[in-house]
Amino acid sequence: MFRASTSEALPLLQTRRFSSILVQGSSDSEALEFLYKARTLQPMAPRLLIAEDLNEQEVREGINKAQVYRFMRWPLSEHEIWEQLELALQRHSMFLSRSLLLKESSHQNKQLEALTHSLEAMVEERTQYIEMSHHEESEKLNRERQLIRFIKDLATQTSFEDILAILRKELRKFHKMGDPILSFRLGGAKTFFLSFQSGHFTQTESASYFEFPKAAQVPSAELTRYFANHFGRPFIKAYVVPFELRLTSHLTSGQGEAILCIENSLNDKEMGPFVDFMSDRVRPLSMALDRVLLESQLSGFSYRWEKTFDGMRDPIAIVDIDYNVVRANRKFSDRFMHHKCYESFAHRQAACEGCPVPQAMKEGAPAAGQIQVDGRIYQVHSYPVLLDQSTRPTNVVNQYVDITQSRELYLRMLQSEKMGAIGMLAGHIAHELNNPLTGLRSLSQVLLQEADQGSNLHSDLVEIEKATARSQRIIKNLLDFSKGEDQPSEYISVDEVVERTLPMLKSALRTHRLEVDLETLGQTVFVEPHLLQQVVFNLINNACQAMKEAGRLSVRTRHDQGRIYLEIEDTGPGIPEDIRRRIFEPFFTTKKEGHGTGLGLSMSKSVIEKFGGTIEFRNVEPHGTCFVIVLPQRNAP
Amino acid sequence: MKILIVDDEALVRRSLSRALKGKGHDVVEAADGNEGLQLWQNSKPDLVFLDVLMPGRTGPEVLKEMREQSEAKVILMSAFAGEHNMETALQMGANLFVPKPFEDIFAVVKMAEDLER
Repeated sequence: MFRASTSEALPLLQTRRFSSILVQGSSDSEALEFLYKARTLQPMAPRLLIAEDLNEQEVREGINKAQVYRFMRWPLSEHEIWEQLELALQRHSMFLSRSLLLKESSHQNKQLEALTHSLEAMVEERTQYIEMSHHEESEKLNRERQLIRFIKDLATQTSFEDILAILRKELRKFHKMGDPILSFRLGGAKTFFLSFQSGHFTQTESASYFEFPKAAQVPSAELTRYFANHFGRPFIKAYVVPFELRLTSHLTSGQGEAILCIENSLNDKEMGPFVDFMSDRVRPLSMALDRVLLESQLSGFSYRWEKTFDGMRDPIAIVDIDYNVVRANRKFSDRFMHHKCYESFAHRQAACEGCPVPQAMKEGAPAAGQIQVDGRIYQVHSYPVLLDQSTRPTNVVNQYVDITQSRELYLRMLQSEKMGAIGMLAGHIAHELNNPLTGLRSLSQVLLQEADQGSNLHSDLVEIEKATARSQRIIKNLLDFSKGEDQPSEYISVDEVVERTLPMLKSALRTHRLEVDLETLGQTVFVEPHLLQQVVFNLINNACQAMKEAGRLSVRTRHDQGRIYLEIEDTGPGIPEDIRRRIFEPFFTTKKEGHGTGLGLSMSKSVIEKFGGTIEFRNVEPHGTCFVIVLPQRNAP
Repeated sequence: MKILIVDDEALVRRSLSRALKGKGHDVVEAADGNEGLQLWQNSKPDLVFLDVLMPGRTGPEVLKEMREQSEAKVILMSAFAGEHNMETALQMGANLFVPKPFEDIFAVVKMAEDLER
């Protein structure tokens, strides 16, 4: 604490800091003057004034000018002074700290404000940027979306018309656009044009050649003229885009090329987006057109191949290693897919006997074999197909040549040759046998004359004579039987034919019991006897062979309503269900190779049918088979 | 009646011979064509049974020679019926054709006797 006069105090105020300034002045105006100065020097120190008398104006001045904190009226105790001073100091320090805080906070506020301001600017900038890029993005997205839709649309199209129509629709948004024209060549001299002429999709072709440009461009005047010439109308301005036909070129040994020509009247400013638009679409368009071209080419090829194969007389099938039919022509079967060849063609459950496929697969070389299908015989030629250059073939081409007829002819020829030879042989044997037989029979007849009737000798001679007579008949039958064709039909009873035939089968019948019940001696049929005899011979012979053990053979004839029935029944095992359908087929035989031609029953059937009859069979109980021949009864005129 | 039988089959000769002798005829037998011609020359038979197929000279050859000298009756016999018949036999100069084997030897003898009558 310093005590000083006002004049002394002024320099103190200039050099030292005080926490408060208390003035007791004799002259109030002088005191006020000092306080005013003190305020300027030390504004933060609260100023107090003790005055004896203060008028209102002085107080107002003191407050306004010197910012006097408190006025006190003299006299007052020291204690009061201290109290006031302390209070003032207290208030003053509060004020001080508050004003400091205020100052600080106002400063910080300012900084915050600046920060906010710059942030706002940044946000603004950012927003603008984002908005811009968003716009760009959406633009790009939109473009891509359109492109994707375009590609999607193209992918499902299968014709040039549809593809060009899609492009045509897309081009509409540019206005001032002509319809697209596709021009392509596939190796040949011809150039094809696909266009919409007065709204209709049209394909035209030209024999004149013009080199297609290799890059997208506004075409040369020459090319424009080329188009104008072809379409017979002026082309003012156009844009051409070459297409890459990779697949089709591959198929046509690198010869496929195409260009798209779009007429337009765009100005330079509009041209840019159009070129962008086109360059986006060149590849998908190329690919789609390539695909359609390839499909049309391939389907053309495969159509031609199919027709070629279908046109062939023989069944043909491509078969894999497991006998699955990969492809086949119509002759082979209408339903071959997902079937084995032996199922669809031969109606079997397993590979055919004689199938050459395994050999062809194994050796990788053509092989041939014979198979039987539904009574027909096929010579199967298996040609291995090497689709890839692996060492083993995975497919074979089977060609099925029906050799039934030629084989039948061949076997018939063999048969007739054989029969001819047998006929000749029989003739010779008959002659050789007939001479001694003539002697034997004649001699026994002479001796019979001499022998006493009723004697043993006589009855012995009767037996000898009968035996020779029977021998003669057999030989005669043999001769007739082997003579073959060229015998005229005659009216003969079936009974007689049976009786003529049975002696020839004595040896076959030896082990079996024969029951003969013939009741049609009075009725005749009109047949070639030796042929009917062959049929009877065949049936009885088969019946005997069917009976592995001793059995019973019944031969019965009867007539009923103008029909003659001949039944030949055995007690063999019967005919199994699975071959019943086939036994009348030529060459069907259950006998071992070389033991039967398989012609017996088929020939029998054709013979009987030739005479207007039928031949059928049925299984009989408990076991056995009965063949029934029915012939129309014909009486001699 | 003197009868010549020309046949290479002994049993045929024997049976015919027995049947003919039984009827009271004279019979000479020849086993082939040459012997037949010889006997024909020697014995001058009234009737000849001649087989067609024989070793050496065949029946038709023998018949041809006989016909140059004589009008004697000739019965041609054959077991090979397909080759000859009555018609061809008559053309060759035979008087009768009998196919072998005979159904009844006595019927043949009867026919021969009828021929001579």
